[in-house]
Amino acid sequence: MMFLNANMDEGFVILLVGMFIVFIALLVLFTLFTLMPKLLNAFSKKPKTAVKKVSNSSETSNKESYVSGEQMAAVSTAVYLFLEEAHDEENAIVTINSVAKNYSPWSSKIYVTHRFNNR
Amino acid sequence: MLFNKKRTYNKLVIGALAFFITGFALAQVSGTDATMAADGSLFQRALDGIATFLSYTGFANVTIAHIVMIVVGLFFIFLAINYDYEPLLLIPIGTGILIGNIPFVAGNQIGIYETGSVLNYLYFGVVKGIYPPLIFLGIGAMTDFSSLLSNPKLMLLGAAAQIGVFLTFLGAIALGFTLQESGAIGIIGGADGPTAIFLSSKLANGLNGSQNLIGPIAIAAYSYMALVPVIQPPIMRLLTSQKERVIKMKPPRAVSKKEKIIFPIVGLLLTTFISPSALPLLGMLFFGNILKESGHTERLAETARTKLIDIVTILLGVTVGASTQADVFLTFDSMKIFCLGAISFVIATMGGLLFAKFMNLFLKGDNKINPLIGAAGVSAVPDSARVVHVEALKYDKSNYLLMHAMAPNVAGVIGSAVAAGILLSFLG
Repeated sequence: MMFLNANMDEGFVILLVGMFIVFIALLVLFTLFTLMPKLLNAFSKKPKTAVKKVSNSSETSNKESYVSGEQMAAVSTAVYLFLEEAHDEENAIVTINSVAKNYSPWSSKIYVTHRFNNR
Repeated sequence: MLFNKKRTYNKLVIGALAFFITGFALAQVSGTDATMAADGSLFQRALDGIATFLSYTGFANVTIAHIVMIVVGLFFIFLAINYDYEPLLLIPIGTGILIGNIPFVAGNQIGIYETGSVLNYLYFGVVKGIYPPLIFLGIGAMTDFSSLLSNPKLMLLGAAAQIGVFLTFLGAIALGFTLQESGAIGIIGGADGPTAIFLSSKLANGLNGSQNLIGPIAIAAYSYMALVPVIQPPIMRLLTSQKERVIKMKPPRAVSKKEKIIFPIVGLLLTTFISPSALPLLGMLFFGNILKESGHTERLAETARTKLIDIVTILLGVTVGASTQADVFLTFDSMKIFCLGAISFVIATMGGLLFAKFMNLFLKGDNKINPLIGAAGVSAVPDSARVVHVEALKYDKSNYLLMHAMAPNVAGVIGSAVAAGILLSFLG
C-alpha cells in the first residue's frame, strides 16, 4: 500500500507537470501562428501604391472581404467545369496515314465467315 | 445457383473440419513425445517417423489459449472486411495474430520471441521503436496543417484531450502496474497506435524490470482506434446540447504557402526543444511535412506517404499481431489494459468536448466553436474528425465540420507525441 501511495504521488506530479507542458507546447505554437500572418505581412514588401489603392477604393471592413463557403464552392465548381471543358491545343495539320494492318489469324475474316462454293 | 453455392460452401466447411479433427486425433494418438527408434523394421521406422512428424504439428501442441487467440485474429479480419473498420490496420494485425498463435515446438527458431527467427528480426523494429517514427514520417508527408493554421486556437483542443493519457496513467498505477508500465498503458489515451508502440517499446519492453506489454498495448490502441465511430458518438451526445451541435463555424481562411512551410520548421524546433524525448516522433512528423510543403521534394514526399508508410504498416501490423502469442498475451494484466484503454478513450473524448465548451465561454459571435470538434482532439487521424463531421450532419445537413475537426485532430497527434516525450523523460 505504501508502495502504491508513493507511486500515486509521483503519478500526480507527472499528471500535473505533463498536462502543463503539453498545454505550454501547444499554447506557444498557438500564439506564434496567431501572430504569424501579421508578422509575414510586416516583413513582406508591398508596393505603396497598391496599399493606397486598397485603402482608398473602399473602406474595407471584414464583412466586405468575407467570402462565404457557398460562394467559394460556386467559384471552384465553375473553374473546375471550365478546366474540364477546355480542350488541349491540337495539331491542326490533317494527314492521311495508311493504316497498317497486321495480319492475325484471330482477326482474319476468312476464318469467321462460311465459305460457300460459288460455282 | 445460390443453393449450389451454399452446398459447395457447406462441403468446404465440413472438409476443413474433418481435416482438423483428423489431424488433431492423429496427433493426440501418436503423442507429443514420439521419438524414432533406431532399430526395428522399415515399416516400424516409417510409423515412428510419421509419429514424430505429427508431434511437431500444430495439432499436437494446440491449447485452448491458442484457439482463443486464433478466434480473436479471425474476428479482427472479419471486422475489417465486413464492417470496413480500419482494414489497413486490422487485416495485418488479425493475420499477425493467426501467425503468432500457430502452435509449434519451441526451440526451432520459429516464434516471434525466439532469438534468430525471421519473425524475431522483423519484431526488432517494434522492440527498438524503429517503425513508429517511420509511420510518423508518412503521416507528416500526408497531413495538411492548413486547417490548424487558419484557426490556431483549435490547437488547445488537441492539448485538452491528452488528459486521457495522464488520467489513465493514474488509473494504471491504482490497478497495481509499475510507473513505467503505467506510462506505457496511459498513452493508449493518446489514441495513436505508433506513439503507443513507441512508448511501450521504451517503457514496458520486458527488459527494464517491467513486463513486456507491447502486444496488449498495441492491440488495445489499434482496436479502440478502429472503434472510434462506436465509442465517441454517445459521449458527444451526452456532453453537448442540441443548440451547441448546430453551431456553424466560420469558414477557414486561406493559408499562405509561406505559413505552411514555416509551420513544420517552427513546430519541429519549438516542440522538440520543449520535449526532446519526443524527438524521434515529432522530428519525423515535421520532417515529412517539410518534404510535402517545401514544393521541391515531391518525389520524397510521395514515397513517404505511399510506399514507405505502406511497407512499415505491413511490417508493424503483422509483427504486433504476431507478438500476441497466447502464453504472453492471455493474462489478467492484458484484460486490465483493455479496460483501461476503453476508459482512456472515453476520458480523452470528454476532455476535448468539455474544453471546447469552456473555450466557448470566452468566444463571441462568429468565433464560437462547435464543441463536437473537441472530440477530434484525440489523435485518431482522420477517423475522429470524420466521426465529428458525420455526427454534426445528423443535426444540420448543411453543417460541414470536417475541415474544422481536422485542426484539433492533427493537434492531437502533436499533443500525444509531446505527452509521450514527457512520460519518457520522467520514466525512461
